[in-house]
Amino acid sequence: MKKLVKIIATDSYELIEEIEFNSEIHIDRSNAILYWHLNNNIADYSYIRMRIETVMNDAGGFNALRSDEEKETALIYTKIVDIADAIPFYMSKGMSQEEAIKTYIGLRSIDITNSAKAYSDRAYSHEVRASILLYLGQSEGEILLDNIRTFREDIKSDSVLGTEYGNSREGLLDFINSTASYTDAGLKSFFDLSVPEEQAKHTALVNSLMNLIYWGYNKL
Amino acid sequence: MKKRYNNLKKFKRDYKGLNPDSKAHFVNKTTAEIFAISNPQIGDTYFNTTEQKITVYAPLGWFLLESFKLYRYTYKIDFENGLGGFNFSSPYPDLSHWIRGNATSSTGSYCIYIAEGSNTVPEYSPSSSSSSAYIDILFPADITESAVQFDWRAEGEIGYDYGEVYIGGNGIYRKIGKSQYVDKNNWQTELIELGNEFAGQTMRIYFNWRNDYSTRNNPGFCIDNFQLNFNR
Repeated sequence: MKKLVKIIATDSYELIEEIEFNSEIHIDRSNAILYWHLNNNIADYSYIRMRIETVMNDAGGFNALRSDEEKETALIYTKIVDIADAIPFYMSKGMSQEEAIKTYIGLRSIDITNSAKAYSDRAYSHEVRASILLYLGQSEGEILLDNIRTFREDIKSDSVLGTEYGNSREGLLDFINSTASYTDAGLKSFFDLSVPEEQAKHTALVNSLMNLIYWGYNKL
Repeated sequence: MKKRYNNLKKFKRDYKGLNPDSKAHFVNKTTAEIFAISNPQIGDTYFNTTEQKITVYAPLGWFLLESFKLYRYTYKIDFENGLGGFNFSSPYPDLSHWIRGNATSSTGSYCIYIAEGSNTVPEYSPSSSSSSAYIDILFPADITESAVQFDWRAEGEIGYDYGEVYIGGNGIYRKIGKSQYVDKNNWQTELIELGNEFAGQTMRIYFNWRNDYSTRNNPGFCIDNFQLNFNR
């Protein structure tokens, strides 16, 4: 996983591979929520959110964060904070339960808008199209792109990724990973998995698409 | 290639009394960046104010006049020969506290910075602690505008280990400047405009440092070339 580092000589920030880290020239800021947020121009919204979620979970969850400033920052990326944790936090700041719920929903709506933009930029990227055409060829690739058109639109409108990713309905990642109702369907159906070579291509395409759409990051 | 400043007339009207010996700086109010006239760089625009017989340099593209202000008078403490009137509040000398030292400096050899215990290097304590450096300043009665200026660096940790600047006295104690001075390993120049609110008053400028018990990224708060700038 990439590291968020500060370059000491220039006071600037970069994402680097772990192997590139050099404590003589870098300060590792990967484990600090506030640094991810304040340097959120270093990657797209969904990547920053994912890394903040990782830091938060490593710390022991929302309630284990060190300060209210960190908690308020995590709440900007609302999806990563359970409403059951958010409401008591807001109420501890003087909000009524109704105000707290309203605040959470308002932030969650903005969070969805921001992540929809980031994920749709990824899902509609030329890299995704190129990867599909590389592993499936022109004809099959176009069929797949046609199959996932609605899923991509769901990402663009409401940031729907799939039931395995916190959404109430199925999405593109269910299709790619053959989860939910796509257990024996979805992307799998484009390959003859009894043939080792086809199996390898299927695995490679799944990994490629997951990296491009979910795990990867787009530099803004 | 250098170009002649094309709004010179307006500049001269606004800042007719510029003293060629003053430490005049161009200040970008939006970014708080400061550019000293004594530090011209390749590609700079320049103009010559014939009345004052000085040459002023500024980076190309910095000449939105509304964004800049020059100060004619400066009271400066560079810590080379002592504290210059600064005092330190260090109730727990084993923890993070201010010292004057020469392990780092923006210019010259000395500045003031946060150290731990009897150490003389700019490294703060890993235990939660705080400390203040402060100076009492009489703002002249006839000032029309004023600004506190200083060079600083502080790595620290955003939200947990950082510097703050306050102005106090006559019933007020108010944070000025950035919310946190942190995350800069390299020397920065800060200028905080104060207008004429404190004309005729003696005010105390505080440089406060605090850190918690967790992550430690040195150096802590370091201050050099403290200045009070003003026009009258």
